[in-house]
Amino acid sequence: MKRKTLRVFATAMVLSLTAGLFAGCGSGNNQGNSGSSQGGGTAESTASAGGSGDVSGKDTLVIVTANETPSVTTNLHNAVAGDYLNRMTHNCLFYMDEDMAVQPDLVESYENPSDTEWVFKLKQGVKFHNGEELKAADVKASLELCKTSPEVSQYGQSTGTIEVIDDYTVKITTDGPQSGLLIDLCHHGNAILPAALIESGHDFNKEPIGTGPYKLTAWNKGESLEFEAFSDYFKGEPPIKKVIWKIIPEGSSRTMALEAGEADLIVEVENTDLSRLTDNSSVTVFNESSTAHNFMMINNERAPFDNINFRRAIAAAIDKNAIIQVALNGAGSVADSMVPDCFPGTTNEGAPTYDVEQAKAYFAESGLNPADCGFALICSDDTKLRVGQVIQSSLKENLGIDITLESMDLATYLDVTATGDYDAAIGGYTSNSLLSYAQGVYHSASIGSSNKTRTNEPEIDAMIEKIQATVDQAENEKLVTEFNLAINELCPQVPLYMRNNVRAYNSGLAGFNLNAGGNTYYDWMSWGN
Amino acid sequence: MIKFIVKRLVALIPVLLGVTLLVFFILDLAPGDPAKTILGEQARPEDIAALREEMGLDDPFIVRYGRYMFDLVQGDLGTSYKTRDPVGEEVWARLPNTVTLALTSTVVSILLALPLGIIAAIKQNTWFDGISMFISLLGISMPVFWMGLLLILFFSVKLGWFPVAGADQGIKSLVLPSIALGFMHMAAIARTTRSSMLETIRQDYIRTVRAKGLPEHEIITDHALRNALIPTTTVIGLQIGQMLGGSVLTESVFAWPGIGRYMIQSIQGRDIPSVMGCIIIFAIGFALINLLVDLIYGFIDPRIKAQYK
Repeated sequence: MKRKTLRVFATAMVLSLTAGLFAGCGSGNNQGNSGSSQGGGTAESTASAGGSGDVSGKDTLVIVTANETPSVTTNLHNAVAGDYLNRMTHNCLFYMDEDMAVQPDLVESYENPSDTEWVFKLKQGVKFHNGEELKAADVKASLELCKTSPEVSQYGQSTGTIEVIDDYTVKITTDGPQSGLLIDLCHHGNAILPAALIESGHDFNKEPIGTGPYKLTAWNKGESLEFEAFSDYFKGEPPIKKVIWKIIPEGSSRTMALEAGEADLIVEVENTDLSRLTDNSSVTVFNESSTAHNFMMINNERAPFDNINFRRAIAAAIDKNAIIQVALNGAGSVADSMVPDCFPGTTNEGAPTYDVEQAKAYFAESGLNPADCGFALICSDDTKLRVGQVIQSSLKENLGIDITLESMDLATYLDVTATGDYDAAIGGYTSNSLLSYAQGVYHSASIGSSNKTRTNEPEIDAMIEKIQATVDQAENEKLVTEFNLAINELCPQVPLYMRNNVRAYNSGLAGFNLNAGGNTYYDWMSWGN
Repeated sequence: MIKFIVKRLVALIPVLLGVTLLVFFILDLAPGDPAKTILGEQARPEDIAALREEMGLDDPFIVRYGRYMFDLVQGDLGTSYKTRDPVGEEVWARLPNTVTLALTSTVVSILLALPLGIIAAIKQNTWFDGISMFISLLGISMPVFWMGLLLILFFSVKLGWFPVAGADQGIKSLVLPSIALGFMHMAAIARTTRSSMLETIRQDYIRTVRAKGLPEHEIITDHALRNALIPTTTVIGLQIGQMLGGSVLTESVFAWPGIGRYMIQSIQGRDIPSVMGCIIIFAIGFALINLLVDLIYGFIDPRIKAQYK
């Protein structure tokens, strides 16, 4: 009898385990669809989310993201994860719209009496979350705070001298013409905080007081951040009353949270889940190009990278389409230009493109022997490792060059590439303007930090400085083209791809917006309206 | 007994000193600059220099370690380089989650493992023995993140019974991570229980009680199991200690806001005060669990208790 009971128990255990395994291994598409319909039905677990598709009565937006911000204090971080949150709680004088054009935000109007003088008239009646009205003194204190905070001070260099003319007028006198001023004023480091709280040493990380559409109500460390709509927001109370940011580090779990209706929007979509989410009718996938320029950075101070023909040869020998398929699952586009080609005045002209015969010709001109050209390529995460594998294969096949791939954690990678103690590495640079890209990646003043190719060309420096000093838009674009042609010719790095901005969200969400720089404005969104 | 406990607690002090020195030294040797990591790829050299100075990173090793220890003896775990918040706050915000998950996973693993191990031993070389050891093998072999994803797919996405991630729904949030983690740890406990039971039931005293005509279940529960539990208790203690040290993969898959994930992120960011804070908590936790295991030995076997002087 006992033996029989044991047999039944054991059989039941094995069967249930097997059923669990097979259930888990169902096809991705089926999971997606059934998951979405389940989401609508699991009322308790999705009380606020409501599940995909059915959005009636929803007043909460649940966003899932991979990373937790180190800080929500605008001047104490330069993290993308923190920038997303700062856009909810704060405003800057300007913002970048969906087409990456600079638009006034807290500014009513402005004039530019000379190349170095900027007079800004502030909007009146703008309230901070603590009920105080925004005044010019707040702008001065905030912009000066940015200058002195190492995390964001690079965005405070263009603001020069800041004067309060009256309660609603601020004048900035720059140190020489600064074409990047308005773009710098869009950065969260220049978000406007109450002057009195800055002076009193208020802990903005506990209570971030700004003028933004949402107020932070809770930060559950390692888990979530909760926001509620600010009823006195100067552009009107946002339609969605509550926003929760949940931190889910694992990509597959984020996808399943959306499918189960526990989340409404994924910020970092796992490349391998893209097709599954695209096939899900309850989910909308946003997949468009960004300003994120990704490249193989090469140390121009070391042989063989000090040979321009070698640099051009490897740039022409790498199959970039294969990289996009293998590493990004198609969510990107080929980059040939040495700068992101999405900014006004940029061009691909003169940049090497994938052409094996041309690569061989460049290599022959370099006078180098493939056996002497091997190098180590640093790949600091899984995606970069897949990129590295395609490069390894292309260089071996097309030029007979053997390279080794070196895995490295982010902190070590940042250290060795900044100090120039490396041959080559997969890297990237995201920026909102060509000027900041050029200054960061190619100006000799950035050697030791973001100029990792260690490009040190006085002509290139002079061109960048001229772009910085030219405020006139048409003239500025001409200079950008001139610079772009020169840097394409010099080929200090090997551009690979422009990564797409990818988001997936509940199809009932209206007003979703995302510009190429990665900015989203959550107060523009609503549920099905 | 109290004297024994006090002696063990006092012995913890040099252990903690050694741990802090070793970890501080290793982190100091590790490549990577906390300031560069915080400021990111686009930082300017002057900003990196300013932040290094602000964080006191330019001081010699001994000065930084001395400063750290001076604060530590006053109960201050320091300030996180990355978040600028007190490490104590960061750790205490996550520690209850880690402890809860560790304890519930232990309960799950014991509930599964003890019956499996005991029955497998009693029914040695039968099909039940084979199946239970196969299940143990599955527990050891299945990566915990894969097990976690399967559980989420079936119980959260398909059935909608439990949340996919997070810790905001009380016990419902705890079920799947506990099963995933408990299933993994179940394997070692079951195998240890089986081998320990096998050894015990072959002892002469078991043959004697069997000869006296005692029912089989009494022989197992009253005579064999108690003696077989010593090695099992050791394994359970070690596993709780490990789980208190954070279960990074489980925490990542289920977005469980525990200390393991926090420590890994701190290591990646070279956030030395945060890493130190976590290590100190782990070391204390591990030492206390070991002490508890030693005390439990005494309750299981009075001969051991007699040695606690």
